[in-house]
Amino acid sequence: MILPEAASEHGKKIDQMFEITLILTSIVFIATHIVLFIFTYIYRYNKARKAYYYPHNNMIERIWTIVPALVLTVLVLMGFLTWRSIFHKVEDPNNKPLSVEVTSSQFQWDIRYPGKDGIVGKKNYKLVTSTNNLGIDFSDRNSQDDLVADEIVLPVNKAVRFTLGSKDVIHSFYMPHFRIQLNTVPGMPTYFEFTPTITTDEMKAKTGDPNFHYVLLCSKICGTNHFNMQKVVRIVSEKEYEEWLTNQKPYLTDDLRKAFNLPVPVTEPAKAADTTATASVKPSIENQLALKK
Amino acid sequence: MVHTIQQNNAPLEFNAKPRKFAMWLFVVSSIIMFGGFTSYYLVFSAAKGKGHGLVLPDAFMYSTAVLVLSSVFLFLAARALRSKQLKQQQLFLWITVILGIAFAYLQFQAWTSLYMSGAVLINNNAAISMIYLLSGMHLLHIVAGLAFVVSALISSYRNVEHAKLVYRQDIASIFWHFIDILWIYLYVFLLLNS
Amino acid sequence: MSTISTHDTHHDDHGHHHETFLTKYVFSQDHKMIAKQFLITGIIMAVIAMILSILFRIQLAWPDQNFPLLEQLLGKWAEGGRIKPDFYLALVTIHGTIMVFFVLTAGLSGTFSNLLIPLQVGARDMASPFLNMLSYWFFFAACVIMMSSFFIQTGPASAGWTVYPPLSAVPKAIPGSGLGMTLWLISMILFVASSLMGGINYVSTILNMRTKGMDFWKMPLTIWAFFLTAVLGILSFPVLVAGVVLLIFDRSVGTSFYLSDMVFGTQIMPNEGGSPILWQHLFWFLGHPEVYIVIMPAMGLSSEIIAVNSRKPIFGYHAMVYSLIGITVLSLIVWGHHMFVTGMNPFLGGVFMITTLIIAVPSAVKTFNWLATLWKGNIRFTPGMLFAIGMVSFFISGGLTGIWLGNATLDINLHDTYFVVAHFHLVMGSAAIFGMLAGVYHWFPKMFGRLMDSKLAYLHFWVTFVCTYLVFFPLHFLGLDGVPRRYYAFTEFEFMHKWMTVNKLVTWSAIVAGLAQVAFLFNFFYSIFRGKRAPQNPWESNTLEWTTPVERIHGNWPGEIPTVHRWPYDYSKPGAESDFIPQTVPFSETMSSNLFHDFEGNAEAEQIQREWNAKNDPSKNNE
Repeated sequence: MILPEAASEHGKKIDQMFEITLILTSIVFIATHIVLFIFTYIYRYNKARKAYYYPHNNMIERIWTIVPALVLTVLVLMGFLTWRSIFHKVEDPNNKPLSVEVTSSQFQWDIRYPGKDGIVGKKNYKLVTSTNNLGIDFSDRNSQDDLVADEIVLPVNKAVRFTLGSKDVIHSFYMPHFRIQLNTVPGMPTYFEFTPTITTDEMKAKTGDPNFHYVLLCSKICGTNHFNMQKVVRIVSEKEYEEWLTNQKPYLTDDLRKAFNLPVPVTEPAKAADTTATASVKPSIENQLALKK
Repeated sequence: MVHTIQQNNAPLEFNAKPRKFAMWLFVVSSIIMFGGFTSYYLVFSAAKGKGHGLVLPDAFMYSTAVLVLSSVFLFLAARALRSKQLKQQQLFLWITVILGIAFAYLQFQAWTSLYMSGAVLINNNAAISMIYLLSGMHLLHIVAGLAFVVSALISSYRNVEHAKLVYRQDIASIFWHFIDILWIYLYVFLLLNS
Repeated sequence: MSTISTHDTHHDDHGHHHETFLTKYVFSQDHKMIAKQFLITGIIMAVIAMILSILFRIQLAWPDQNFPLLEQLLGKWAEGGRIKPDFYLALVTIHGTIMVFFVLTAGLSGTFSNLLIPLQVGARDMASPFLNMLSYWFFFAACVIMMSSFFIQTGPASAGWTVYPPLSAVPKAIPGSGLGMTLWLISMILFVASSLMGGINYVSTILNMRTKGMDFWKMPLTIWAFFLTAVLGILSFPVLVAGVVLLIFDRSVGTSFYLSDMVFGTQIMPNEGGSPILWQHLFWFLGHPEVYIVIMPAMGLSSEIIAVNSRKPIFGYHAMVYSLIGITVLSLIVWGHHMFVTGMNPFLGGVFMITTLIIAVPSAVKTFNWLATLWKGNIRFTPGMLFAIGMVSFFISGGLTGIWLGNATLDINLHDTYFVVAHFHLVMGSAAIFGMLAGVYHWFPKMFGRLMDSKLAYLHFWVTFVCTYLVFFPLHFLGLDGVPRRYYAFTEFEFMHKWMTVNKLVTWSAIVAGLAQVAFLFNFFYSIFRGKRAPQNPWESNTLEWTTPVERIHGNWPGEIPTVHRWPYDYSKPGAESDFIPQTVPFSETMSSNLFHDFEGNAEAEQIQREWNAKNDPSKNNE
């Protein structure tokens, strides 16, 4: 195979399509080139000969219109069905996919895991401050237990649903081994659901490369460091995943609790938070108020 | 290289038909550009579930009437030319020019009243910005159209040969009637998609 | 060339003036001179774009090495002898823009539409020679403005040639999105204006100014290709204007057509409510037809050259025309295949996949017809013919990978990788350049009255052909391995390290291919002044342009414009004396080779032929 091995369920389907297309186009490529070069060689100029006056043959032309059309129809149908199966996932309420949110910005990926409730909370770009890098809206209960992660760790054979967003320009979330690519667009969340099937350790054994790891790349031109937007991706067993998850810290720090007028576990909530809470929707105004005080 | 020029004096005879056709093609490309703008508007408002949401200023209504009237006078000018009454043609062309300028003035009035009502160009609702953009791009067309009308007017005073007069008048007519219809389309479009 | 004073003999009063150097070579309204202006400007822009590409190829091959020479050449863009990442992106962007718009649209279509349309349909000039002149000067201004962006503080536009906002809209995102991007947009507006003026002229000329007897089905395929290209331009370029105007407003005025929800660092941008995806729709509504605007003239030129040099009629003339029409129509409804992974509605993705793969059918028909034209031909390997065959080869190689990319499912993994780079450089880059070079070699005698040197041309062809494959074929494998395009260096990701050697091979091939162009440039400019004088019809071709005198006079034909009697592909017709019959030869002079089919149901002519056959060659009446 020319592609690296697919490490996701839908990736295998894509690879099937890929192989069929590869075989078909290779045949056409080789055949037409043989014909092209043989004809030019055999029928090279010869004074004694006269070319054969052969302006058209409707039968032949019909054949080589219809045959490619039929082959392409088959490819289109297969492609269409595979495409649908990748993007139209039927919700199964008993087996909800794991939700992970990825936010791109120049030039990094920020990962947010949902915490115990399994739901990644709301965010609003207008809430971005130096402490609240993603603009998470902590007045949404679902946000309060969300976890920071500095790498993407996923349990093997469990469906994951990525929510993709961008803070500044368009980036593209590209993980070639899982056959995933989707743009991250400011102001428009995008979603990709997939199931990884091979753990990093298994892949190390398969490729015979002890340093192997899955990669996340940015594939849409996004600025100076476009070529270096890295994030480590690890696929692990369910057990390792649970273990890893317990070590992750929540986004909600004490400072943010104060800013959002939430109870801080150790100390009492600061009084000043009252006045800023309502204004917090407009951070620029918030700063001004702070200054005036 | 010395050319044998004698054989070269077959004149490049004046042929109005292909040039008029070129004008029609320009009209087509212009329609497509406005098609681009209005389809932006449609997709935008479908995605956001809102249009510009304004009551359009009355000035737009008056300007529409003025523009239609100017088209009528341009039509009269063309008819006068056909019956070779140059004086009359010139008069009607002058009226067209004046009405064209009046139209431009009314568009500025409309923008002012939009601005006063708070619907400014730099707006978080791109649909409102689009009102300025559509009428502005249309106004550029009006300027070009006035140039064509003035060119017909000048050649009428200069009394050039009749075929060229008719050609210039035709070019002005094609373009002016087009921008007239274009404006009506844009106005109705903005009325319907508020 | 001496100045011309004999022009005083002009006595017609239709705006002919004294020809000075300025009106003859600079502000010329003669379509043949405008064609040469387009060609030479196009060649200069192509050389610039090629040098830019070699610069960024050097960076890709030796990302860790310093080249002090680069610093001397580029100054602050290559401090310490290494190209900076921002400048790398600027190089990629400007290389793409120049190649797609200035070389392959203006340089190719502008040159040959201007040269061949009046000559091949039998007209004295374009519908509006003045508009034609304006078209060139708008193009020239666009080139100058684009190049001027190299001399400003913040550098040229660097958001990729597709200039997707927000990257292209916010100067904070990348320095090139400051003044450089403004210049890019102004240049593009001028360029579109130029293309529209050109296109309107081409269409109007073809529809209204064909000589007597030149009905649609007697037009050479070149004319069909130029016609449909111009129609496509008129239908799609205005949409780019619409898109560009909105982008200008977003950048310079502060509206929010394309912008929303942006934060740079902790600075929240005021723009709200727009959608960056809408730019992509407007851009690709032009952008995709644009690639056919690039390739269709190359197809037309190649079809003509292949037929002439195979000494055979083009196989399936009608099918060739219908497939061009099919491509024209379909190309307007496939733009979404550039946006499969933007997160647009998956159902739309499916629809665009269907239309995209359908467009492969007419392309396949064209390829097979070219191959069938070669079959049992008597092929003369003129330089033009070699390049035309090369064009067919690249079109096949690049076209087939289009079937992969047009399939939304496969596109998920291949989008924005080097696979795409390889695909379009073969199918529209190399194929169109080869079509253009084929045209230059073939019609050089018509433009300059002299022939180009064929030995240098063969050298040029073989080195370019081999090196082009060496440059672009390996890139497919990078893409399959998941290497995204527009990466400044392959140093940061471990899995890319293995491609470093391939990058060196590609860069060396690009340098050799670049050097081969020196052979072309020398040949081209030397032959203008010193080439062998060309006979009137050097390739023994049927089309009308070869009936004009070698001296290339204003008005094209001395005296009457010739009348056309037959289609342009009567090569090696059985029964004819020579192996070509120009379009101007009436059937009455070729009684021995006429077929009943030629008369298109004209009963009287058929009767005359029947009587002649009965007298001279009775067996022919049985056909």
